[in-house]
Amino acid sequence: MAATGTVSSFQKKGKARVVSIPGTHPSIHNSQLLLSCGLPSLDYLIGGGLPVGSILLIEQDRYDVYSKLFLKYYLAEGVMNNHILTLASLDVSPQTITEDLPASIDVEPDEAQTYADDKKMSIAWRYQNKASQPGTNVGNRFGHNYDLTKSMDAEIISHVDLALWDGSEAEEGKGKLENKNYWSLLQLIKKRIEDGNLSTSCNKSKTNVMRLALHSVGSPLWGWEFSHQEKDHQWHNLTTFLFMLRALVRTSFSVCLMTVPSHLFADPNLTLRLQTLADFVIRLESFQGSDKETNPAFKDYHGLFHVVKLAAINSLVSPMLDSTDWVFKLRKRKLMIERLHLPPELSETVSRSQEDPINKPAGPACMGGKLPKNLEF
Amino acid sequence: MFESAKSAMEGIGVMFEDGGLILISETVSASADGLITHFLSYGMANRHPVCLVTLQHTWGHYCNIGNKLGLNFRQQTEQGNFKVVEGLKLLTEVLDESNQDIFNHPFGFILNASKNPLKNLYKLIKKTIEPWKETGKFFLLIVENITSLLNLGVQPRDINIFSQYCKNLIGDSPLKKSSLLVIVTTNDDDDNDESLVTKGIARSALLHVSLKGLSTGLSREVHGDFKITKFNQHAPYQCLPVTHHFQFKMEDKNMKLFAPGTSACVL
Repeated sequence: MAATGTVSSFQKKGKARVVSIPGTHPSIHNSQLLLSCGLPSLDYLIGGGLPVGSILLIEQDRYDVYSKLFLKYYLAEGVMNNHILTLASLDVSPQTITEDLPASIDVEPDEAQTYADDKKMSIAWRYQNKASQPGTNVGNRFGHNYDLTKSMDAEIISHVDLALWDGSEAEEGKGKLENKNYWSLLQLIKKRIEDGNLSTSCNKSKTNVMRLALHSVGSPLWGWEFSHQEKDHQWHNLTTFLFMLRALVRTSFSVCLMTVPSHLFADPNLTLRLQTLADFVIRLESFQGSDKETNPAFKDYHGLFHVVKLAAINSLVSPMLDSTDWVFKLRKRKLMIERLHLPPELSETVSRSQEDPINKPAGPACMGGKLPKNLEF
Repeated sequence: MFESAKSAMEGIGVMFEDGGLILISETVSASADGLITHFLSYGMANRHPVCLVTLQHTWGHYCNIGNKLGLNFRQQTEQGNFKVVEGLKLLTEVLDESNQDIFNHPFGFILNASKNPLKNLYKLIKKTIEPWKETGKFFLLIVENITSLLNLGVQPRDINIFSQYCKNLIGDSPLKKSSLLVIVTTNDDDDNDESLVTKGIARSALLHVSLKGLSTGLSREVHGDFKITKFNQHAPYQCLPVTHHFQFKMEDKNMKLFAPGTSACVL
């Protein structure tokens, strides 16, 4: 007998672990908790998002234009999800960075829904009843869209637990961390982790994650200790800092994005070491001031986006990319990462004229004159 | 256990049960996590106790990989079969200002310059494996990414001394069979310190497994080169070490090894 309205007695045993942290979702590959970087195209490249406990290292472009945008996207995403934020910067005052975060331009899903209902479809009437976009849970959204021309309301930012560090209250470092900036920043991060009960060894259930954003770490202002002694590998302050940071981030509910002016490091070993210590490494190579700026192949783009390292966290296989050549371009409102496509050759006469068999000087004798005229290779 | 890795190492004539030092070197583009998992599962399958010293990843990382393979490493630690020295956790303790006993802390050298920086870490490892040594059991000691200590300002010389000490730990007495020591290094040819450490350890190793990313770029089907070199110290007439060369591909639950140039995208 088919009783309507009865509930099946089959129930999933054990409580399904529901993640209640806003702005996160579990990875489909390894059930890692992922956070958005604020840029959907970057999330896609690193396997869906930044796993909690990982470090994303961005090697800056030469004028730090685009890398700063990545940092702002990342922070804006944190603001929208009410994450705990920690921003450290010495080159630019952290206040100016937070004042200029891109504003979210997402329309509330409810409004979008009513708008869609109003329209009476006359051609594709079959789709009238279909929702224009699948209903998204407002409380737990993954990734937002941002508009670079508008800056975020100061009021939204003021609601967020935000700590700014500009090195003004740095205390003396110790031992291998004698650089006062690195030492005091580590102390601050540790304190923030303790205050937010974010450490994995703390048994309280986690309700939030911390986003660390470190701008231009290792630039001359952080302590140019390796300028003259670089050959003797006197840069262990920076590597020790990153190692300790890795330890802190791994053992807590936090993610870190740091930008590094790697073009300033004369010793390539330092860059290699930093790459080993970080989990995801990308390098931005902007065309500004290089001869690639005028290269017609790159005329639609602003720079090359090199994916240097993608770590496998909690699994054996790291996220695989279907392409190795990526580029980024800055539109008026947004930054995009795309596959590099060479532009189509539209001007037929220009390119063909060079290969025109008639104008060509005579080839080797063995080719003779019997080749068909249209053969182009 | 990955059958492919097992047969590759047995194929060159190395039996794990005989003990000795096995060196694994990785690069930024080719990670040795798979081989470490291999040794962990080898210890689990044969009921050998394992001590893992992690310096780059967390223990949770390996547990999750094990879960995927259907191996419960965490249970092994609860039973005392596996013991883990978690480097990253110990490192965070250094920042704790209330920690009074910093002089005896394994990473205390970060704050207080010390003549023998790795002495405390060695002591901790020694204490961990002491019970197994006393009963004369065969055990595995795996030191993960020893070269990351270079980042903490430790000199290559100190790391080489440390690895020699670890080697002594596994085979003190000539009467008993020696245990197995696996050391992982990062080895980039451009980095002098890293290659110095790797060469120093390779000198006393039985077997050197070198993982390297492809020099020509990335491929879906091939993740890198897997070169395995056996140094035969007991055969003076044979001067050249035996080398086998493979290419590898990591899969979700497996490590695939094949002869160079016979990957799925070529054939």
